[in-house]
Amino acid sequence: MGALFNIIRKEVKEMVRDPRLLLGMIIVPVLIFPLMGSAMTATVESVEQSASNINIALINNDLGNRSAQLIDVFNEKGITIHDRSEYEPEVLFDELDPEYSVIVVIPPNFSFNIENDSSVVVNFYTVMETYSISEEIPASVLGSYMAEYKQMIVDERLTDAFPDQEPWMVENPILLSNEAVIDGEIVENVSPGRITEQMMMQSMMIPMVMMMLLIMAAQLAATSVAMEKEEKTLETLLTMPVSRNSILFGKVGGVVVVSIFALIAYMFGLSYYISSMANMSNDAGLNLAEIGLAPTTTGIFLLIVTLFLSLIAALSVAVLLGSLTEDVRSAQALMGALYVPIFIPAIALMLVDISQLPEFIQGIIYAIPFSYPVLASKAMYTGLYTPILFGIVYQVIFTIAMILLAGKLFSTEKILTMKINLKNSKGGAFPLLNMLQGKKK
Amino acid sequence: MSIAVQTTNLTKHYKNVVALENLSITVKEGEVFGLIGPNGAGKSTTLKILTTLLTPTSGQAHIFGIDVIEEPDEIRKIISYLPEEAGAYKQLTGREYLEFMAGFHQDDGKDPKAMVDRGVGLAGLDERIDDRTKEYSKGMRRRLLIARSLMTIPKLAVMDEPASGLDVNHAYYVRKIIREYVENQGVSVLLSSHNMLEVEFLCDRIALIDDGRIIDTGTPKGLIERYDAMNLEEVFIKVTRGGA
Ligand SMILES: Nc1ncnc2c1ncn2[C@@H]1O[C@H](COP(=O)(O)OP(=O)(O)OP(=O)(O)O)[C@@H](O)[C@H]1O
Ligand SMILES: [Mg+2]
Repeated sequence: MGALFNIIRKEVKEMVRDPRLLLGMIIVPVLIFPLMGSAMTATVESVEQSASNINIALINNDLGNRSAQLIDVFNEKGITIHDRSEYEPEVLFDELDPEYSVIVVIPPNFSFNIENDSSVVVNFYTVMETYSISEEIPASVLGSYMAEYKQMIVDERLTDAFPDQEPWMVENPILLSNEAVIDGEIVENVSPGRITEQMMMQSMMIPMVMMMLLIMAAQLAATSVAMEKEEKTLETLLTMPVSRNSILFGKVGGVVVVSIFALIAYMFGLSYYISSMANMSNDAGLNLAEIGLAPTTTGIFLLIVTLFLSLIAALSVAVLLGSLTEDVRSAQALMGALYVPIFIPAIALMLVDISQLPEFIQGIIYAIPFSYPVLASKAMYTGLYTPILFGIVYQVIFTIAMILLAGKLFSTEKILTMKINLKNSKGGAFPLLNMLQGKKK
Repeated sequence: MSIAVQTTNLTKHYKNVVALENLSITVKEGEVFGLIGPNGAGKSTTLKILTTLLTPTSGQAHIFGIDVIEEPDEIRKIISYLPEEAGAYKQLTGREYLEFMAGFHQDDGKDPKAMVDRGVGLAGLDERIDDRTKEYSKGMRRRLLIARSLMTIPKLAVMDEPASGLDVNHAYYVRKIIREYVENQGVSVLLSSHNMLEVEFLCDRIALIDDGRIIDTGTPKGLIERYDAMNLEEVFIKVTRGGA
């Protein structure tokens, strides 16, 4: 026990003191989500800024008095209007440093056409220079105000034509109500689309983040074993009075400890990101719990179990792969192969339900031990726990097999004589392939 | 006086290389025994078998009567090993490295603190012992590793080219502490070397090996006389193919 603790302590010390690692596992994740959040907030703020502060140049050629109504609408919305009726629009295009963002041209027949149930074109010109969103916003905001005025005229015309009807009824002969039913109950005014959207956010975000963490942790574990070889410390360690299993578990344990800190860092960053996202949208996000879609306690428990087992499984695979290689870079290249099985199920299951996939692909997903947290995060809401329970048993068997395999490797001289070197291989994208080819030679 | 190391017909094959063939040596308790031979002779292979890192293809090896192949865990408690090429953990300080290594001997009823103090003294790095080992020169690192291998007062210290790659000053220091330690603590030492000066200074007895086989065994003086040579270097040349 003392020896195990001794190794864990040394592993943690080494990892925490490695600046690359600290940056990659703790500092970047802590900062990346808040940074993403503030970047988004800043964008939204600048968009809002450009929407609330619109200046236009108005060239009003209208011969009647309908245009005054439109101008009233603009004024009401707080738009600053510069009257440039004496100019041709082209003159204004070249104006350096204009005080306005859109040039609005009202044609001479504006009032006449409107009053005679005809149609008329109003021109908006936006002089583009930076091609940024804030340049485009004023014209589209203005467009939405125009639409309001247009609706007034439509209503006016409909009232004339159908004096006994409500204009919106004439306009909408059919209304659609698209509502979700959960557990036999209608969720009022909530479309199925909104629920899946929210579900994806809520139930996938956490497993996705955990998958990222899993990969980092696995990378760490493989590196830590390969480093012992590269730095020529392994031989000495293997002659110490300590069991080979303690060395293995010590390495896994060290990474678990660091991962827990990284997890806390992730959670802080992520919660900041989510809260700044929520502040941004006025539409207070759909509360799944309120509409009867709260995750069950069993579900949450299963998610945690599958996540923990995935971590241990990934670490044991990583330790195994790390001990097969002779240097850190080869270990990391070999680890690249592990990303694929970790990410494929996460991404595939985010888009579709497993039952919709062809059987053969379902088989693959069930065979990958890292699929189960993603499956569990869905089962949390659906209550279909059976596959998850089987998955947990499978994960345990897989993990034990990997640990036994790694332990076996560590207890023979193979750990010292086996050498897989991917450093000079060209096809870095296919490390496993290279490994197999290397073996044949 | 008991026997520290006894190997009988030790043979080791790597895939298609025969590294050792029927190698039999005996090291007595309290002596410094040197394995001398050209590159590829099988010195490191022998030492790795004795330190439980490799398993022999055939033959037997005992350290203080304990079977190396059958009871590797018992062997690891009484030996220390200094590999030919070894590093220390870069992010640890010299002292932390010694503490880490001493931590494995807690259960043997030895005092890890005293071990570390001894190690710090042996390394002789003064205040640099508290710097990270990545800031050490090669010589400093080697001194730290040698200190580590001696601080536990093992019954047998196995050292593969202890002073390899060291300049004259470092090498002199290293030889001196090994010699002193053996005399004061009664540690038995099995080492390998290419440096005849080192061998003459350090070893009580040596075995000349070439191509995985023992050519001759004896005291440095005895061998010089037997081969009618000026010094050990000449013996080495005469015995190995270099002289032929
Ligand atoms: N892992 C290995 N795989 C295959 N052959 C090996 C391996 N290690 C050593 N050998 C071979 O075994 C033989 C003995 O090697 P060993 O390292 O024991 O020699 P040595 O006497 O220590 O040499 P040196 O003085 O260069 O350190 C050499 O021919 C070497 O090529
Ligand atoms: Mg050697």
